[in-house]
Amino acid sequence: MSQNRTKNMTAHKSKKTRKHSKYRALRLIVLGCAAQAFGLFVFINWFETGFSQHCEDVAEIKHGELIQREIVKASEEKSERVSKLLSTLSRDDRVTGRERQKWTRQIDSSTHSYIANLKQSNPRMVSPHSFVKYQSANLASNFTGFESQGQRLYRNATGNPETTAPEEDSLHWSLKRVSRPVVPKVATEFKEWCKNPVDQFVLEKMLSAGLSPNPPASQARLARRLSYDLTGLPLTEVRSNYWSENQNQDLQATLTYDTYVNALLDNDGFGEHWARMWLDVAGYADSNGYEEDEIREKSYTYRDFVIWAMNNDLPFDEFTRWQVAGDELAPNNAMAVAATGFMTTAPYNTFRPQESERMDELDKQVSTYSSAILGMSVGCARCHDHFYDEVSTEEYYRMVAIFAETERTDAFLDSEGGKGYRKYYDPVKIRQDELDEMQYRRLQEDSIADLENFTEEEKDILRKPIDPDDLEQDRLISICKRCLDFNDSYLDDDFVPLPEDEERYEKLKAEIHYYKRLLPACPPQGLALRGSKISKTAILENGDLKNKDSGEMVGPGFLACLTPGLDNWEEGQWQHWAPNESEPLPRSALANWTTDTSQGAGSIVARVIVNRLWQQYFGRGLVTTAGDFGLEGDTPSHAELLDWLAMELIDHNWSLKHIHRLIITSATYRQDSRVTLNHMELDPENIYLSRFNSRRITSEVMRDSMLVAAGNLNSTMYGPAVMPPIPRDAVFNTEKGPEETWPIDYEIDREALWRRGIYVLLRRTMPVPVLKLFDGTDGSFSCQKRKTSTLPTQALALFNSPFVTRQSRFLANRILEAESQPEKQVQLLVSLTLGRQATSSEIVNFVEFLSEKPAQTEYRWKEKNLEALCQVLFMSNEFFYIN
Amino acid sequence: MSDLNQSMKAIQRREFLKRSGGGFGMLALSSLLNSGQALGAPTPISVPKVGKAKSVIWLFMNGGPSGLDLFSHKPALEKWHDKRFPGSIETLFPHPGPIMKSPFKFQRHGESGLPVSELYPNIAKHVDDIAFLNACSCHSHNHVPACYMVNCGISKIGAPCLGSWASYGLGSGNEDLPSFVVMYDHRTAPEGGANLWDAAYLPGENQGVPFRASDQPILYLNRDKNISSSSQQKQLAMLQKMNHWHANQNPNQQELLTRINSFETAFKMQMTAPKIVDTSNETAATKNLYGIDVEESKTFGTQLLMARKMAEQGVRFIQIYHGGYKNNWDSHGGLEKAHRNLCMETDKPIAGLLQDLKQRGLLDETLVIWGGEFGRTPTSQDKNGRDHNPYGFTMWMAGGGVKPGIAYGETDELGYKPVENEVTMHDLHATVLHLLGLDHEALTHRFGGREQSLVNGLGHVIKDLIA
Repeated sequence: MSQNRTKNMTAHKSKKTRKHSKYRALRLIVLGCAAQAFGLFVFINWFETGFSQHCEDVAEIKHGELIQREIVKASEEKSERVSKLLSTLSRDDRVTGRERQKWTRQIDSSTHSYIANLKQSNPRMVSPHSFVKYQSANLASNFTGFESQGQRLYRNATGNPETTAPEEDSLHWSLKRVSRPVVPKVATEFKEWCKNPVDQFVLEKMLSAGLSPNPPASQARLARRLSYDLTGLPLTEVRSNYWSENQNQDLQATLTYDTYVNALLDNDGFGEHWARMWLDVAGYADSNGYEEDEIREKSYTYRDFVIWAMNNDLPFDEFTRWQVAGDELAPNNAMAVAATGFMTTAPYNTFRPQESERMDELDKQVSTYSSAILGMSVGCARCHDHFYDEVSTEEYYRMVAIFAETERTDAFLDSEGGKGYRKYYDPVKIRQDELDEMQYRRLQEDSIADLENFTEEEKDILRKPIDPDDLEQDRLISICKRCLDFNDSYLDDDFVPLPEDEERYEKLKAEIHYYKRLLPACPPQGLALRGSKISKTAILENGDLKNKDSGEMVGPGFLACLTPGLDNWEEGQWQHWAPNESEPLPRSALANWTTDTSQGAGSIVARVIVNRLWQQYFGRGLVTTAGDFGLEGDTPSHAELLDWLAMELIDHNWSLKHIHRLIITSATYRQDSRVTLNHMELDPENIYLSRFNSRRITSEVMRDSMLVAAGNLNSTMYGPAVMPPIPRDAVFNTEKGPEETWPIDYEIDREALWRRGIYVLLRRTMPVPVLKLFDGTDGSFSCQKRKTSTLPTQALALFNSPFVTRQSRFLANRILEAESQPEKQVQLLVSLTLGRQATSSEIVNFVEFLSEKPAQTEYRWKEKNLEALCQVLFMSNEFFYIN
Repeated sequence: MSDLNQSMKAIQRREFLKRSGGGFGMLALSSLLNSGQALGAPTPISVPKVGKAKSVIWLFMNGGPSGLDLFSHKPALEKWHDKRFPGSIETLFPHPGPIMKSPFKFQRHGESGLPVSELYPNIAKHVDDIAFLNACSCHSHNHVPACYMVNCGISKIGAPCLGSWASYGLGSGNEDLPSFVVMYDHRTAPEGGANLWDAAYLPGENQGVPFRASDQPILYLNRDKNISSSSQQKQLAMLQKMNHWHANQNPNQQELLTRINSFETAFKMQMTAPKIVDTSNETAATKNLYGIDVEESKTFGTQLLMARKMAEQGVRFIQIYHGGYKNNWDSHGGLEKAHRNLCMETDKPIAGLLQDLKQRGLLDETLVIWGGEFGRTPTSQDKNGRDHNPYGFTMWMAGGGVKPGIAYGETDELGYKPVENEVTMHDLHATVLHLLGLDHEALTHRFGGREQSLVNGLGHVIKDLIA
């Protein structure tokens, strides 16, 4: 949240005016900090009502022009924000890629609802789909200046941008260059069902398999599903209220859904949840593995980079390039340097390391890179030409040569010796900003309360969030400037916060104190990859180091099969992709080649990542072998859809959030998960997507959900990993005693450790048992998809692990504090754990459970019954399954 | 394919539950009727052939025991004692010392006349049941990579171990107990940790489950002191009722039913597991047999007795680590004293296990394996110790269809490298799977772009070892 806030405010330069204008910005963005995520909703709302009256005779006009014209009108009438929108559409060189993306998205959503509205008033009006087309065309024209690096360099090198086109037809599907397929036409009866082209692709196959779509899931189910799928957090009360307040606006059904989706996409939890997916693929862990299994104190900077990148929708091509060579491509950008942590995840033996173990590490680097990013398993080529894929041993060792002279090191993340890191993440500053806002609220309240000659009613209007449509409020503000305008001179270090802020105020003060002390050790260094030497390696026959002396020496190179027009790789060819011709760097060249969509591996990279996103949502990828798109990999169930999504990604500046939005706003995603006998007969694996696949939550989500329900989740982001206590029996102590190996005292399991699962330290030889039991990863290999095993040992953990019993107790206390009546308690319990209202039969059964006296009356038996019931809810299938 | 079958079973099961009123009690009953499904136990991947072994007990001597001082008698060492090693020798630590003769006396035993040193007087009585593999190799100099090689067939983290493969291939023999159990000395665990018994990409039920000789044999088996048994029973009843409502609203979903059953199995596990640990009913003779009555061998003896009970009850793979970070077989110096102590801790328990299995008629169907991650060099280190030797070392197997009373493979006269019938870890794995009735080429799992197997075509079944 705070990140978003700062993002919106960084435009203001002078320090003196910063806070002042920040407050003005807040007024514009409406609703203040708590509702930041929903600001967009309000914005769209007035934006839309503002120009819907102009829409009567729209059918005659080309909709593209119409939209432009309307935006102009709206901008004249309303605010500078909309003119900014317009400028992104017309003059792209004034905006950065990141800004363009942001605005594009906003226009996307606003126009989406706009068209929904138009459809209401004129049934002949365009479908959202044709707008998407229009928009893509528009964007494409904006991007004409964006020639890929490789394309440009290739031209520089050869003097000819066009190389001989490969014999496309003879290629394996995944090696073909991706192009935009024709979106299938849909029969009239299903027109209504389709929300976007995703559905048209899905529907075509589904119908031909003799299936038809499941009805949409109920709003309650969808709300919970979206919450879990986007943020990995359960549907909290706040969000479910938000949903229900808006659900009666039939006309804005789409708007409400989209707005909810956008709010979740903007939630900080989004990055924390989706980063986990990528960290699995990267084989990330916080220790070296092997004998000593030392903790990697600074590995977390890579984890933080991934969270940051997901939240800020760092274009995936940039994300990819930075992970390979961020230190070379953007040496002054701390995030880019931290990104190279991707190349440091391999386990590493530190005890008298042998040369063969260094080869193992290099192998892990090359294999993880190729399987995570290229979807190719090249590891086999270490010993022999790949049996199935077109990867030769020579190519494998060329890839090894790229990394042979690099080293994992605790590096300063930027050239300023670490100071620059603060630009991206300063735990003190973000808290200070929040304090300042709190103080502005206090000042506002004081000055309003002090007003004379104003009625209480008028004061209440002034207290409300700024509403540009509220003329009365506008009038009152103009009379009384001082009740809303403040600048730095009003700020003081100590102030008395409003009563509702008191608790948070105390906490922030304490945290600032804590972080000030911690800062020097906190952010400047991270585990990164360094080294840019050009080197050669020997091709090892059978992968055996004994054959080192006889092996041919080869220099850096990539994979010919992913390079259109190339049959085999020649020495020095890599330099075509090097950004700096006078001083070519192999890793930078690899990075550029990887995301080069015309001459390099860009096509497969785009396919692989959209498939990963799809797999997370549906539990099954369009290609089921997410890390292997080679000849032995699965063929796609929906090849055209995969390509269409890949093109959408490429055409939308590699915005992952764009793909997320396409998937989750589709009707395909919104289907109910109900399985019928017909499904079982025709499509038991749900290949044709005629229903939503219900899925078990992951181990981290389980932990986080329990913490949220108990009211205990500490939502602090980033920083060093935490080590929550585990039972003494579970400590594999080797060198030191159990107490020094891992905390075992549950008394310390308090707020500081109740962070999200992604922040729990992952030690390779000793993963936290509750997480490991529920199929958490231990960073041993690049994990393409979490297992979901169902084991009695999991049941035992849910019954008896101190974490679960303690959180059940906290949840019970939370309920007892809020409600005294058993019926009310039960209702609250169900809403906190399952995100829905309790049914009448549940209430009856649960209340009976609560009132049953034990045979021998125990002390606090009622409370204990409630604790036991809380635990039952935590263990239940409904708690564990998203449907 | 089988998914559809499973689903159909689920439907039938659903119908059955509906007809029977669907109460919690009926669920318990039905889970019994439907056992095998309960653990999500995999259907065996390769159809068992005539493998004799039903389970494996692997005695893992952590740190690298010196075969040259235990089973592989090399008289030439006396002749070469204190002389430089002829030719080059690879050691972990630089500058190897001169050759060192064994400080222990060897004797031939049994009808087979196979040699055993004075350190293992009790095991020596069983040589006629044992097949010695005297030329094993793992080609990895370092403990943990070598441990991974011996367990998983590859010297780095990330592949499933033999125990997981065995469990994957055979399924569970007793749903109230894990199919793959690991025991180690809890004072000091083996290095390499949980990765040593990891199922990696194989399904989670094939993960090795650590088992302790304590009042809580399995992690989280015991309830919190403040929670009564009746309270947990009540919880279980409420839970299953809820799960039942939920399953009714979400029909035809096998996973939900499997999970319902897993809670019942967990409850049964709470009864079964403590019985394995409970030695109070064992006779003094049994305790004496396993060396439980003597302080030195009490821990290991108790673990082996537990292992025998588990094998009897259908646990597929039981791996017991002797020695962890401390108190292990890694005798770089002071080998004589260290090995003497380690052998005192293990001699009686191992001999007792062999005898007990035999007298119960279980030895034929239980494969016992003894060995470490590598052996030790003929050259000395720190005057009276030996360095690591991953090129030629001794392991042995007994029972489970192994040819008894033989020595297979031989190293050179100094005991450094194989000269005949080298057994790589891949060969060992192929052979063990074969003894379990599993074909190492057919037992595969798809991962990382291809059908993976434990042996990956790198080894073969050693026919000469099969009875």
